[in-house]
Amino acid sequence: MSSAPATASAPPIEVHDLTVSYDKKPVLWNIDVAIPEGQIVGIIGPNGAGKSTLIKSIMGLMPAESGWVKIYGEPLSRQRRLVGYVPQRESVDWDFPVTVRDVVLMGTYGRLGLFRRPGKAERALCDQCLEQVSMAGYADRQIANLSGGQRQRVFLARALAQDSRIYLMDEPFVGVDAATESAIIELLRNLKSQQRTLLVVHHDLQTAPDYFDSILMLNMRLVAFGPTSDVFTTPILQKTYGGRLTILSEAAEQVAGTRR
Amino acid sequence: MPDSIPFLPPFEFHEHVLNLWREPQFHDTATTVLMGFLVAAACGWIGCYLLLQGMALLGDAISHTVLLGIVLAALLTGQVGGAAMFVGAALTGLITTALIEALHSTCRVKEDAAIGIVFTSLFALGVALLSIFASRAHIDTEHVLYGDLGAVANSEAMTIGKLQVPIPIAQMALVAGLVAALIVAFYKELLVVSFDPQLAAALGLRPRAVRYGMMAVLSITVVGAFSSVGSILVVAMLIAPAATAYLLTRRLAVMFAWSTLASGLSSLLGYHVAFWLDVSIAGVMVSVACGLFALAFLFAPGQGLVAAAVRRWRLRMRMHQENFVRQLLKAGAASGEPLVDAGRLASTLGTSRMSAAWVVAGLHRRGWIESAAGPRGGIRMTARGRTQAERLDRAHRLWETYLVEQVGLASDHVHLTAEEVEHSLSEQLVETVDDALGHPAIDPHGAPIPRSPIADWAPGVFSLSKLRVGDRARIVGLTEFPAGIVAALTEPDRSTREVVELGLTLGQDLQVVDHATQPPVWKVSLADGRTREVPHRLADLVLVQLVGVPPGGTRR
Amino acid sequence: MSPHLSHHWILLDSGLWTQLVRFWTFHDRAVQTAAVGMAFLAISSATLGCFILLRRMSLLGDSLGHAVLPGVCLGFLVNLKKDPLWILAGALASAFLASWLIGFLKRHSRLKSDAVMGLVLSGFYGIGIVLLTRIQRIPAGTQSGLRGFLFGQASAISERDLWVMGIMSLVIVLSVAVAFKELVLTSFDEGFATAIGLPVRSLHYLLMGLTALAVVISIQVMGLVLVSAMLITPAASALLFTDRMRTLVLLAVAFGVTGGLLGLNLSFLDSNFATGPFVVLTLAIVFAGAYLFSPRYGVAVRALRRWRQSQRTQRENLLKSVYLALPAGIEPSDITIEQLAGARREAAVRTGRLVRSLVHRGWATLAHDRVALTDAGRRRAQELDRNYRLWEQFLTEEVNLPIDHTQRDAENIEHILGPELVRELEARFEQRHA
Repeated sequence: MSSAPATASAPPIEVHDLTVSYDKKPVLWNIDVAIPEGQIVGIIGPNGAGKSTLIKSIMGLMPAESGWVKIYGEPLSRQRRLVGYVPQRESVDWDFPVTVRDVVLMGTYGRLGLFRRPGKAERALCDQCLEQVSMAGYADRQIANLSGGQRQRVFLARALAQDSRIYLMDEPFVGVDAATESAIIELLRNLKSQQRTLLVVHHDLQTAPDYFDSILMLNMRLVAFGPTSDVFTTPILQKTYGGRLTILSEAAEQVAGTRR
Repeated sequence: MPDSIPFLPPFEFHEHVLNLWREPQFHDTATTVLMGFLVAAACGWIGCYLLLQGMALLGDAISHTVLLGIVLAALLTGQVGGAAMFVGAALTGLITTALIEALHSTCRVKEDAAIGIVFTSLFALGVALLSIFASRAHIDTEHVLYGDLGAVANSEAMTIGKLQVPIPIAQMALVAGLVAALIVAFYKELLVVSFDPQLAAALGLRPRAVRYGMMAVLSITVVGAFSSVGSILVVAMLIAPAATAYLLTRRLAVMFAWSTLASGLSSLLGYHVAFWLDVSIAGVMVSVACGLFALAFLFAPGQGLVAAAVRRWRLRMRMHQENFVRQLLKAGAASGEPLVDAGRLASTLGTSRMSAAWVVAGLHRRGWIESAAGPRGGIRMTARGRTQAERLDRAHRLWETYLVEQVGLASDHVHLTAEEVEHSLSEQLVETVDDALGHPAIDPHGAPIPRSPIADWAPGVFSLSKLRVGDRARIVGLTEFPAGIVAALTEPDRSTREVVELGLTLGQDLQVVDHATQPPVWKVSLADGRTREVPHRLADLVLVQLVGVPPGGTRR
Repeated sequence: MSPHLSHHWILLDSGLWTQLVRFWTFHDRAVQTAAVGMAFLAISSATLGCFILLRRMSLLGDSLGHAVLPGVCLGFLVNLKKDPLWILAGALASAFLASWLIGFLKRHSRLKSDAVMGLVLSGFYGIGIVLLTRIQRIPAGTQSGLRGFLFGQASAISERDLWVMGIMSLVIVLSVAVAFKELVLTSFDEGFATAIGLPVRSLHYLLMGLTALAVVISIQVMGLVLVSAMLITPAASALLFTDRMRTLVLLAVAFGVTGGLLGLNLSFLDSNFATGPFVVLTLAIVFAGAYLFSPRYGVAVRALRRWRQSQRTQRENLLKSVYLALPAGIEPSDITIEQLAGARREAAVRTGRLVRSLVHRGWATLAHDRVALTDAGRRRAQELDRNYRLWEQFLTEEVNLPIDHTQRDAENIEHILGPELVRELEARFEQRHA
């Protein structure tokens, strides 16, 4: 188990007035949100709405232009061990000469600290994580020989090995088979039952209401955030996917134009 | 004593520049410079395509591996030069390309590594053969490393017409001519292939065949250049002039011109500097070519480092200036008088007194402010400055209102974003925002938003929707082509009839007595004392002229 | 020819065999020094090469190699001597300057990274050539031995050079060993590495710095023109054999050292031979061997495997058609090769060859041109038929392919379905149809 949260009352993730630019063009405008503990939260929005950008800037992978992110009331740099991350599958080279076990062991590196090698305890944990995603038989396989669903399971096992309080997942359901999809959601619910918080980028409106306790509707700005039943409504969906966004994106272009 | 030779000999203009262009040295100078130019120009032209297609690496590889073809041809025919060498080189070029493709498509070695492996191996083979059969190949390894441009002038000559032309020059001229002819003949095809290989494939142009063709031509060019610049420096000839040209223009045809100019300059300067220092001419040519690139990188208009820095500095200055006049506007509004102390304003802007002085000087120059006479000094905004300040203030407040009302942000932290956005928004976009918000008169903080300075139809003619509470105006027209986007979405015919049915007629005087923004409705009282409620889309159609107060005037 | 080459003259007077023996027994001092130096540089370059290769920075080694030339020349100019420390310092400075310049130009211009690297590489090299040719004009420079740096001259290394190389290789190997896990993670998944708080940028600079170091200690032996091959080629060869990072590094080192020593041996056959080209050649031969014959990824091995599989498919298809051509209960000995060939629409010669391969496997007998299945053959044919039907059923029922689309897929898959999968399919359909 990870160490206890620094401040009991502070939310797992608090985002305040976060503006993020990509190639000098603002893609997220003044996001303000506090994610409650012990929920599966979906980030939903059209293509180019900045869903992955939000996750990445919470993880500190993209610099914020304004605003801040706090994890249990503290800046991320002090709380990295509390946050697990599942990047998009395409972000790595699957020909890389590592085995499934090597990848899962990477989840323990944060805890191990610099220059220390994973030992017996880490290996045992890694096997256990692989067990949880039903990949125990694949531990010594090279990652190139895995299907899309299996690769996603490996990434999830790596996140499990991080043993974090909070998990940020970038499109974990994209391009996986039905069996993997249900296995993943089962896993997420299991994590939730341990009072962990999950923030998941998702693009399938069909399954969204079943999967998530709360939904964050995003389209360059925060459209709505709240319990799924309150937020997953026709007007809000229309506002997210349609709506008058021409002004915002036009302004983003003009801001980028002056900066170049 | 040999030790008296200095590392850097003194430069003498007469000896190292002028005399070279007089007899008896004229012939040597001219042939060498011409050869250098031909090599650099032909390489530069191909280099333009390599650069645009992202194949600089492949060009690098081929210029190395061609050595193998040259050595094999030399060993087989027993002589350096001649057609066999060109054929051998073209074949090695094709084989290199094919090997690289085969490597990274059939095994897990990625393209960059495949290029690295193939070119080092074939090049090493060439050098090894050269050293094993040194006596038969007549090529020095020194040649491979940096060529011998100076030897061109002394090489065997052939007679063309009345001219005695050294054979290497004739060969290189032929190669350069071939490259130029191919580029002219296939200009459009090459353009499509470079710009969009998929489109090219769809058009039936076979980008792969084109690539192989280019590599063959490249190999031939490298052979022509080999004796002058060797196998390695030719890489610089391929990339440097093309890259210089690439920074100076965005058009392919112009790129060729710049790259030709860069080639000529490097050849000319290279020769003189090399003569002065008594060093490898090709080495200096490459250094000069890279120096030209550095100049372009620093000083290219638009994209150069200096130009970019100037642009950024200007932008910052403009933002400061605009912020400054907005502060002046606010201060004036607060104290009720236009005279303000410049030092105090600098501190409210959060800038140093130095840069505040710069900003003030800039504003003076632009005629936005003037120094106030009198014992208290200070500065005063001009009418022009006030218009600008109001334009900015309007953009700022409208953007804040937009963020709060339509984007749904909390009103306490929209300010920061608006501070930057206000300087970037075009006037048109500001008007669009204004219309989308229903032409509000106050922002979320309760401060008034300056009115639109833009006349819709003719000077001084606005749509009714731009009027504020208390404005008096006269109806001067109706339009079927409304200014706002909301109205544009409705059918004009019906709307015009509705305006008439509301009782608004030409020449009537009216006064706005109320204005709600959600939904946008204007309540106007007409001359006869009756009041009418005009909705947004109709208000956009009614053209009015203010009576009494001019638009953008002092009343706020 | 430079005078310091003369100390391995002894090698040249004797025959090839004597030379080989003398080299590989490391009898001569000169051979010893050169071989130890070669081992040092091969170990450090091949180790780093694995990471360079996987990060797709292969051109970087090449760029750094060419870029050290001006630094080498300036290092020489300090006291007009080939002092290893000054040369090392100059080379390192110029390599760092080049890699900084590459990064700077990439950030501040529209040029793509390959063009930037090519530009910096050849620009530095050009300046280096100017300096080198200038040095050759001054008296101290004519016999400087600097030309050995271009294609490499292993016999020119002194014992002092060896010390420098040894210490630097130790630094490189130790650094990689200590930061191994971090280097692997940042090379594999930079985003994740950043997310868990690894100092990704510092690790990148560490790798660049170590690579510059490896290049600099290699140029004396490998030559700056070809130095990048020692980084990439052994690593790429190793990548064709293994899927483990640790094994990759060890194999790359083994290939690097072997290829390096072999090449060194070749280059010692004549005093006019530079070392670099011959080492690169042997490394290339090692790579070509791996490319063709590595058990897992070798192109020839894979082609053989594919050919065997297609032979098997053809054979088994024939077996099935013999089996299916015979209605149940009829004695199977009355099918001729011509009839089979006719039914399969192929040349009789081809059918005959396949039939003989069936006979060879003990699945059929051939008497007077008539084919008969043995019991074993019949059993295999039944098995194949069953697999085919199961798969076809699976495709139509579970994958919902229309029946006419299933044929081709089923045709090929029946030969490779393992017993485990067949059992699973059976269980699935039994359950359904029960």
